[in-house]
Amino acid sequence: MAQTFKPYQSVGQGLNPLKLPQGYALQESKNTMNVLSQGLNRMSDFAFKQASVFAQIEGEKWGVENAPTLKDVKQANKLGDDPFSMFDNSVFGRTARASALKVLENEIIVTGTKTMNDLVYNAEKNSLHPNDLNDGLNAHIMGLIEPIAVNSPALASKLKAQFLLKGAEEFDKYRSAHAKATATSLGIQDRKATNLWLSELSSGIFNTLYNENQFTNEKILSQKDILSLMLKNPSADYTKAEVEAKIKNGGEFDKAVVSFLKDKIYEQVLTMPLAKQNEMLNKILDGDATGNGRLDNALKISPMNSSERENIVNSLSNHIQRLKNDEDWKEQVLETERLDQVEETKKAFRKATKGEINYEEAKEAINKMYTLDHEEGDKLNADLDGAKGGKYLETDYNNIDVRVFLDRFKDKVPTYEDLENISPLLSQEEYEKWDKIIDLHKDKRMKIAMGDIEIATKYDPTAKLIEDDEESELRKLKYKELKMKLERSVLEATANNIDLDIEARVAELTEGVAEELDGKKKELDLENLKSYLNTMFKPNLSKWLESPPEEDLEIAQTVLLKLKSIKRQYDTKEIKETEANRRLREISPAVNTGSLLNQINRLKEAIEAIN
Amino acid sequence: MVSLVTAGLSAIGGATATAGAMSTMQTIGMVTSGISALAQISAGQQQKQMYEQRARNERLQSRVEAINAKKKGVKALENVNASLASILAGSFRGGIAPDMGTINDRSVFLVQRPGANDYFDTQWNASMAINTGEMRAKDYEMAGVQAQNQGYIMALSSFGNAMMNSQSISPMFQTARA
Repeated sequence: MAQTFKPYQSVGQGLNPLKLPQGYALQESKNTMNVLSQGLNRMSDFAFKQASVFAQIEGEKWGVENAPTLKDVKQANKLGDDPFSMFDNSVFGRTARASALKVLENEIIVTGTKTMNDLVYNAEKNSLHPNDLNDGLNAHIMGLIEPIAVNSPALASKLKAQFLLKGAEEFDKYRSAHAKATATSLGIQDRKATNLWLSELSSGIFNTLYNENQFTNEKILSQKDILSLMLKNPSADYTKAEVEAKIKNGGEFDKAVVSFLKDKIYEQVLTMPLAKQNEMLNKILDGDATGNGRLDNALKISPMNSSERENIVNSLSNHIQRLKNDEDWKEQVLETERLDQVEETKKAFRKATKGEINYEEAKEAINKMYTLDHEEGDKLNADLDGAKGGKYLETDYNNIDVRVFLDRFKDKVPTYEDLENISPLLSQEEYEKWDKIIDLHKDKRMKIAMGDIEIATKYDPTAKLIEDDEESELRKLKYKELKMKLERSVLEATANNIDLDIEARVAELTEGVAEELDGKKKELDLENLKSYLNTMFKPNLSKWLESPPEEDLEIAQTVLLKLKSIKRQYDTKEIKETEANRRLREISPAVNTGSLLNQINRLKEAIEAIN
Repeated sequence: MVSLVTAGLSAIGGATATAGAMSTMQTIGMVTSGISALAQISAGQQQKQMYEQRARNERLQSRVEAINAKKKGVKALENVNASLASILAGSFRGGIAPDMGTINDRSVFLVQRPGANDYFDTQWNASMAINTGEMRAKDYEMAGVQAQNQGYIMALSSFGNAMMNSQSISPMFQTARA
């Protein structure tokens, strides 16, 4: 029997393996963090680099500002401190330390170089041996380098090399120069000896020979031979040209001979009287005997040829002329000084006589002037005599009391008391003048004459009430004028001892005065009228005057008539006030019916005053 | 992250505004740096899109796998039906009650139990295919977001560096030019 049961056939499906997420999100998240981290790192690196650069700049500045000096370094070394301890191991600190070391390096170079130069200069000045200089330089270099070797061996090493190089260079230069100087020193001494011998020829050997009357060609040539030997000294190393310049004819030796003789000729001539000097000069020029045997013999030597004689004589002649010119100049100076003193003395005299006279000083000035200039002395004396023993040589017109007095008594006569009060301020001459005037007015005839003048001028100087107008002023002026003229006439007559007829003189002075004053018053009135017309009416006259008259008085009369006409018409009410004012404005804007009467009266008065 | 992007964009705006006070070479530097930043942002976005594409693929693949698993489950049930049918037929022919005795044991232990095992395996597989597929897709999506963020960060970093470089150039130089 066939099997009918069909067994279950499995589909063969087990559990599938799980395909779980592979963590891409986490991986990318990790990448994100990495990217963020890298970005931030880049930024922070950049910021740190910038900060580092800034720190370097600041550090460099700080290092320069706070760099220890060489002195600080030495001091710190002594105390066992580190002078660079303030610089830490940061960027700032390192840069600051580097710049501080640079500053220190510069200071050491400057100090070191200066000291080395000083050492070389001192060595040159004191001619030290080169080895001494070398020792000094080395000691100096070691002294400079040692303090910094502790703190900065690299800088110390660099500076040491630099200074040793410079020291060696200086030493080498000095050694060469020293060797050369030593070689030339002897030669210089020999040359100095030769030059000294030459310069002392005149005062030494030549003088002796001259005094012993041995100044001959033979003796002079022997001295020249000695000079030749000196010039051949090999250490002096004279060149051929130098030797030639000294011993050739007309060379330095011959010039010394001529110069010596020139001095002797000068001595001979200048000690003679002025009148005989020219004669002596001619003798020397011609080679004649001078009367001085030693000089005559000396002048015979060969360097003293005729050309040299002529040169010496010309030079001496000029010298004498200069001396004479100097004398003239001295005289001119003295004369200028004398004139200055004359002026000074005049000034002193004026000072002594200005204001109250100081007789003592004035006389002192006069006495001094007599010693300087007699004529000027007489003048000053006469001036002082003019004071006649009074207090003042001149009246002090700047004094307010004097000015008040003179003004007050222009038209009056002072009393003796008035004069005595002011007398200390007046010159004697002024005082006497006023005294005479007072005396004069005591005279009865004079009083009558003054009365005549008062009548003629209609001016009373004693009047208490004086009208302050132009007419009164005119009369006052005229009175003063006549009074002064009369006083002058009487005083002149008295001074000249002439008998003056005062009455006749007054009649002469007062003749025509009244007419003159009236004429002047009229002129004055007319001027006033003109001024009044100009002020009040002139601006509008042309508007209403058809044919204006040329004279001011006529204009005034025309204006007056017109004003009167308007007033009459206004008073009789022929015209109204408006019309009256209109017509008045045609004459002048300053006039109206209110002031019409006033203007009419003023014009009338002005016209009447002239008429 | 949005705030980072906003800050970056405003920085670009600021740099452009101050370009007037910069030298030509500074301006060129800033402009190229800006372009580079934009390129980095674009790269990040493309990377994100790639991951999103993968996520979609994973979801699709997981559905296909689930369907296949379910199809196998149906097949298992069909096989169970066929076996059970043969048992029923045999029992009726033999006059044996199908729900008792050996027949019933055969039905339960030889057919229903292995069939049920198979069926539940396929259901499990289908379910796991969907779940793990979703997990992988999420993984890719998260990776995409991170990739985009990387683009933004790199852009900001590049542009920030450019800004700092530009600012580090001496202000004295800029003042002198002005």
